[in-house]
Amino acid sequence: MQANYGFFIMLTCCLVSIYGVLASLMAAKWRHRQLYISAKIALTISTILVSIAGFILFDAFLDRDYSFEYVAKNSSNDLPFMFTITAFWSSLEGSHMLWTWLQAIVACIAIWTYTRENEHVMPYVSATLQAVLAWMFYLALDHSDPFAQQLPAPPNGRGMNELLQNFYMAIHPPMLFVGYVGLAIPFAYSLAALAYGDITQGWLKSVRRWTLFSWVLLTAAITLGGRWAYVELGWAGYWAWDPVENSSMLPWIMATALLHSLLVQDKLGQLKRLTIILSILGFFLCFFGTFITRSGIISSVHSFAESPIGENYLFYLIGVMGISIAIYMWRAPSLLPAETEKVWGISKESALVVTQFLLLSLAAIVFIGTMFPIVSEWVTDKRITVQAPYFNAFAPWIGLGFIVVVAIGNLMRYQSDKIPHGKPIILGAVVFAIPVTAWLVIKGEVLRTDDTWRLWAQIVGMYLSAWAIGCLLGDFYYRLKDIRFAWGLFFRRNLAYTGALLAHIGLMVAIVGFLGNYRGLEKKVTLEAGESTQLFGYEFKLQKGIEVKKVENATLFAAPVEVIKDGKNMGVMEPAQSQYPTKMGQTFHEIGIKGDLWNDVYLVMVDFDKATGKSVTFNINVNPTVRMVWLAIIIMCVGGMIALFDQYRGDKSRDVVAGNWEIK
Amino acid sequence: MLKWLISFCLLSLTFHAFSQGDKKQPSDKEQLEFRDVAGELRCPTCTGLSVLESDAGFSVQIKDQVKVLMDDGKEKEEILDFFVDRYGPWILREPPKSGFNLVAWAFPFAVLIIGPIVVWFAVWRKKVVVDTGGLRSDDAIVEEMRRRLSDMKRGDA
Repeated sequence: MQANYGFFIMLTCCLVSIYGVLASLMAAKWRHRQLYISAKIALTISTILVSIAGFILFDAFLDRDYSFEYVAKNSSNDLPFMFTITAFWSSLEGSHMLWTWLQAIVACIAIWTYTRENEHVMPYVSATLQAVLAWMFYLALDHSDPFAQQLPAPPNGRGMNELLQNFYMAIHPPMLFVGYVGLAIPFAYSLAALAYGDITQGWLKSVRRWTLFSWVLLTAAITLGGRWAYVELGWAGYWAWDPVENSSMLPWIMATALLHSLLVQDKLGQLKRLTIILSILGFFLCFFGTFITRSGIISSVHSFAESPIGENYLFYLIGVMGISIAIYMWRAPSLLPAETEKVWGISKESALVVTQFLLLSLAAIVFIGTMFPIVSEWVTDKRITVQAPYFNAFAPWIGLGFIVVVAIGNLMRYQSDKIPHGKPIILGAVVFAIPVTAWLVIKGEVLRTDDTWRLWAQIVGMYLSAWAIGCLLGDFYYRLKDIRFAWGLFFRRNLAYTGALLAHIGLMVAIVGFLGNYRGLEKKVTLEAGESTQLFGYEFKLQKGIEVKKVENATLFAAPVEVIKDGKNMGVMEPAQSQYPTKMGQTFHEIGIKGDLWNDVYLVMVDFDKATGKSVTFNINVNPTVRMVWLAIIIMCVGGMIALFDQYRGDKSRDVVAGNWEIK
Repeated sequence: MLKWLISFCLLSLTFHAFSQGDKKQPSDKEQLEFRDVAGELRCPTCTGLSVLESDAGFSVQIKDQVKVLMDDGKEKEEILDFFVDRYGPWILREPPKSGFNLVAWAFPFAVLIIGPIVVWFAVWRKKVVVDTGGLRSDDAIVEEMRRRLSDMKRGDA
């Protein structure tokens, strides 16, 4: 019964959104304020309605109402409370529902929190957002309906995917979706600016806020996804250049590029068109990534036809691109050129353009690597694979480019080819980097790498990252010194700068963390009870053998292992295999992880002797500096959040002051 | 999200087989070579992983085969060719550097070489930008108002 309400609510939302699109467009054309307000109210109504629909689905999960086909497929009687809630987004229909819901909420917030300077582009913003919503509602009705019924209701559900019964999978998808829906706002503002004919004065400030908001969430969400893979999948890594990961990274790259192009637009009024193109691409890639991963097109061109949602996504993507390109071609010439005179040459704005180039190259390589198997199969009729080695062949060089641009670019100034205090900062950093590198090399035991190339790659990478951090800190020091160390005043006025400083330092720390992948070690070993083995100075001693435990809905076959490093006992790790009541024939890895900033010990229990429980096979991995990567990304996100509170960025942007409404 | 990775990992777990650790301890150099070869072959039942990183049944068999071939004294290229003959280029983790697949390798180089040239032509050489006459600038409007005010004060009006 409730499922019917859900379906009709979604249908109403779809119709209301279509009204919203038409009303917004009419209001924009006739400059009719009341009509526009009705469009805003339409959006508010569909937000409230979709929230009710969302709560109906939540309620169905809590009640274990298996007359909902989606609930029956993704839940079961034994599921603990937390996963009963997160099962909501554990499969296609629910995650589309969540995405739609969040899109409505964020669109509603964006529409009501406009600034007065933007009021003339807002009808177009509202039209764009509601058009996106209308399509998402339609998809939820026709191709991905979470309210489909199954009567009579079965007594128990089929169970939630066991790999998703993990804390990180509980928060990764909602965060990623909030990041994605946030990118719809810059997109809507860009189309609105094109439709209106120019960029209005408050435009940049709003777009910057939303982009930064999305950027922080995407950064965190992608990392949480990596963290999930690390603690759940058991291949001892967090990033595999998998198509799904790549397609979540592309919008992130676009958001990063967008933030940097907004900077030039803010200070000099240049790169307006690039800003618009990037925000369109960022939005497009959110859906494009979903399309290639959901439709199954990535595994083979032939599997494409099997999924109706894929086809629908394709039409939508073609529509979005077609409309965006058409509006851009038609209206972009009406954007006024900037009025600043001397730009480019050697200056900060040029460094930012180089940054754009590096980011877009990275995006292009990730994109071609992800899509190439399809293209190749289509052209040559032979299947090929593009995996990590391909990406790893190029990504480090772009990373090297990032280090240099971050270090030098941040020292430069707009419209000037002089670097203030350039010599002491750069040379000081050259010296500063020596002890830092030495510390990293000693603490990380880098010299024990077997391969010469990998050894040097690490040392050079560490030195350059340390040097870049030195440059950033040097610049910070001189900026503070220039205002006689008035800290309070400095931070009050420069939150954006402070945030960027932290984010860039975070990126450098992350690169040092990534370099740890060049010296990871692994070993596969079978231990009898009481036996021990060694790897990289760690001693692993299997205690009594298998212990059977019950944790919530899972039965664990755990093998406690004592870890000793340099005679010090680090404690007991419990890698295990787990079994869930809904899938008795299968076991899943529960990984044991212990470590510090420098090394993670990562234990996977591959198998055990089922008869005696005394003999266990382990995969033992020593993964260096994984925690440094997590730490680095926390620093980056904190930086982004600090920058979000800046009040001043965007004030200087010199753009059109719009005219009045005709009907008041 | 991550649906493919998950479903394939599930598969790999289903086919997951018990395999004994090696009786004979290989030397460090052999170990390195093995990692090098196994790291370039994809796990047929996973997404994104090499056979080296995977314990799926299929991967374990491939790893065993690699060890057998290495014991026969085969070089890395010969071993990889052996698998390409059986499974096609799909088994390699990188596209082959021949025929149409060269595009995948040429493209990043093209981006990295052509990109800077485009950047150069698009922006670097453009030192002076069109003067719009300050038509829409706040500063210009303020400037004009000032000028008119001072004109008024001089009593021209």
